[in-house]
Amino acid sequence: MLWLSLFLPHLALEVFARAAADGVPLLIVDGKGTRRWVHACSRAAAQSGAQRGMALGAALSLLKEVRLKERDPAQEQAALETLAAWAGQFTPTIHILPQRGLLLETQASLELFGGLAPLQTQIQQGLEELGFHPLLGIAPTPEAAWLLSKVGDGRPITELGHLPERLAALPLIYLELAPSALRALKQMGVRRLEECLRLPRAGLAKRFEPALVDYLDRLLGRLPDPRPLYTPPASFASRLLLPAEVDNTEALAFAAHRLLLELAGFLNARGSGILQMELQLSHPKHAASRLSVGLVAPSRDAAHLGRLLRAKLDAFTLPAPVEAIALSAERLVPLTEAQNDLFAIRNPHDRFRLLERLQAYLGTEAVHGCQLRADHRPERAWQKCQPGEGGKSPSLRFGQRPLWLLEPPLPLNERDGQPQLNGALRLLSGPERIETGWWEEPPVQRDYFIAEDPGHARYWVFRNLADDEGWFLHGLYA
Amino acid sequence: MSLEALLQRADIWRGRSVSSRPGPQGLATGYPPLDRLLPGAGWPTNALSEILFEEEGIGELQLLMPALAALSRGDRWLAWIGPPHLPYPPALAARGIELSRLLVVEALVGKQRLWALEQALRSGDCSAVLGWLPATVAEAALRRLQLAAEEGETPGFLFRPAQAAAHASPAALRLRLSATPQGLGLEILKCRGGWSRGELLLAPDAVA
Repeated sequence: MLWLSLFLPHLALEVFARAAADGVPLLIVDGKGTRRWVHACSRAAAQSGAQRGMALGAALSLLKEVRLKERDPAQEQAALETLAAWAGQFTPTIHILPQRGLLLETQASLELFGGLAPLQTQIQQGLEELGFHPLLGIAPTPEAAWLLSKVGDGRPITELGHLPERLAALPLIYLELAPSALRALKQMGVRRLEECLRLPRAGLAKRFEPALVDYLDRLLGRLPDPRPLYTPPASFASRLLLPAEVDNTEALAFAAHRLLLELAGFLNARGSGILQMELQLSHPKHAASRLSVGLVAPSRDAAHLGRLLRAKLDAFTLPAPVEAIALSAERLVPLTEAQNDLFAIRNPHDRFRLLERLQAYLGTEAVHGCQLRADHRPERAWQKCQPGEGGKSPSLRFGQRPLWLLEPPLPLNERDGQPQLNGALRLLSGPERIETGWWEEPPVQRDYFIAEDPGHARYWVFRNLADDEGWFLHGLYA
Repeated sequence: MSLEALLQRADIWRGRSVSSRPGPQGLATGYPPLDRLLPGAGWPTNALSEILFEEEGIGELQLLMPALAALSRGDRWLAWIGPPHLPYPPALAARGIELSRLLVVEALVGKQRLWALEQALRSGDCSAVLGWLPATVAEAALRRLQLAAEEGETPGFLFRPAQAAAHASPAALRLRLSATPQGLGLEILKCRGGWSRGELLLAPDAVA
C-alpha cells in the first residue's frame, strides 16, 4: 500500500480564486454579526499586509481595492468531490477527508504511470491546471501520509520500517488527537511524536482514551486502516462561482477552461466520452442562459472540447453579467483509446471535428449534406441530410441538369412569347416535359428548355403549363 | 549539341515557359489544353485559385467538375462554403461527384464566410474547399486564407466577380472567364512559377 495524500491548505480561497486570473486582492471572510475575521487572503492581499485571523475592519483599512467573499463550506466540499472524480484517472481508491483533502491509494498505479515521481508530478501539475495548490505527502499508511502532507514534507516514505524515524520529530499539534489528549500530553511534557512513542503502551492505554493508542497503531501500520471509498457519480456536473461579475465572454473562457479540465479528467477516469455537454451561465437578476454543445463523434479530448465551447461562447451575446458558470454532461458513452493503424494517417473521427466546429459557430442547420430522392419534380429530387450520408441515394437517370438550382423558380418577363433575361433568351434544347400525377399537390406540368442569353450564359428555364402559362428560371448551367 | 537538346535541359530557365520550373504536381483539371498552360499541369494543390467571371452561368463551376469528381472519390470532404445558390445534387451526381463527401455550409455574413473558409482549409479534412467572395475583400483576409490552404495542404477555389481582377490577391492562380459564341474563354491573369499569360478557348460541348 502506498498512500498519496493531498492537503489543500488554501481550499477556502481557491474555490473562488481559481475562476479568474486577475490580481485583485481577495479576502475570504468568516464569522457573523460584528465578529468577522479574515479566514484566508490571496497573495495580492497578503502583500498589502492582510493576514489570516485578522479582524475584517483592520484588513479593509489596509487594502485599497478588495473583493470579499463569504466562506462557503458547501462549495469547498463540492470542490473536493469534483477533485476526487478527477483523480479517478490515477487510481480507483480514493477517500475524501471532508473539508480538508484527499487520500489516494496509488500502489497499483505506479507501473502504469512509470514510477512514483512521474505520478507525483502529473498529479501536482494537473491540480495546478485546475487552480489548486496542494501539499503532497506519501507514506505506507493513510494517517502517516496525511501527516506528512500537513507538515509539507513531500519526500516519500516507501517502507513501513522507516515511519518511526521519519515521523519522530513531528510536533504533537499536527497529530489528529482529541484536544483533551493533546493537553494532557503537553502537561506531561511530551512535545514530539518520538517522545510519545517511547511512553509505555500499557500506561497510555490506561490513562487516555483508547482512540489515542488506536491512532498511533494505525499511524505506524500496526493496525489496518480501512477507509470508505469514494464512488464517482454517473454524470458530470461542476460549478464555479466567479469572484466578480463578468460581462464579456473572454473572461468566461478562463473559468470554462478549468471546468473542461475537470470534465476531461472525469471522462478519463471512466474511460468514456461525451456526445453532448451543456454550459449554464447564472445571472443575478435574470434567468440562467444555457449553451449546448453537441458532437458527432464521442470525445474526451480537453483541447477539442475547449475549441468547440470557445466557438459557442464567441457566437453568444450575454444578456446580463455572469456570476457563476456550471458545466454538465449527462450521458457518457464508452470510448476506448483509438488504435492507431500503422499506415493510416488520419483517425476517421477527425473528419467530424471540422463539422462540429462549423456547427458550433454557425448553428446545426447551417451545415448539411445532400441526398437524391426519386421524384420527377426537380425541386423535390433532392433533400438535405447529415453530411456523410449522401451516398445512400437511389440511382436515377436525369436529363441534362444545371449545377445551380434556384428555389423558388424566378418568374421571367416575356416579350413576343420569348422569355427575357438580360435580353431575349434563345432556346437551345428541349422541351423536356415534366409532369406529375393528378394526385400530387400542387400539380406540376412544365416544359423545360436549355436557353442561352445574349451574354452566352446558359439557363434552365421552363414554361408552366398548369396555371398561368408563364416562363420561369429554375437553374443555371454554371 | 543541338539547340533543341540544349533547350530541354532542366537548368535553363525560360521566361515564358511553364514546365521548365520543377514544382509540385497539380490537380489534373480534366481539360488537356488547360493542363498544358498551368504549372504543375493542373490546379495548384496547397494554395488558392481564384476564378473570376463576369456573369453566372457561363460554365464557371463546370470548369472544376472533373477535378472535383476525382477528389470526391477520396475520403475527405468537398466543402462548399456560402454558395450563392443551391448546388443541385442530381447535376452533381451526373458529373461524377460522390454525394456522401458533399459538405454545404450556408454562411451568410461575410465574416462568417471567411471564418468558415479558414477553418475548412486549415483543418486538412477537406480534399477541396469552394468559396464565393465579393469583388472587394481585405487583402489580409485573403492572405490568411492562402496560409490556411498551405497549412492544411488543401486546394481552395474562390469564385469572385470579374471586378476583383483590379485588386491584388495572394492566390497562386487567377483565371478570368468570359463567354464567347465559340465557347468559354479563359485568361490566366496570374500563375505561380511562370509568366504565362495564356488564353484559351474551351469548346461548348466540353463545358455544359
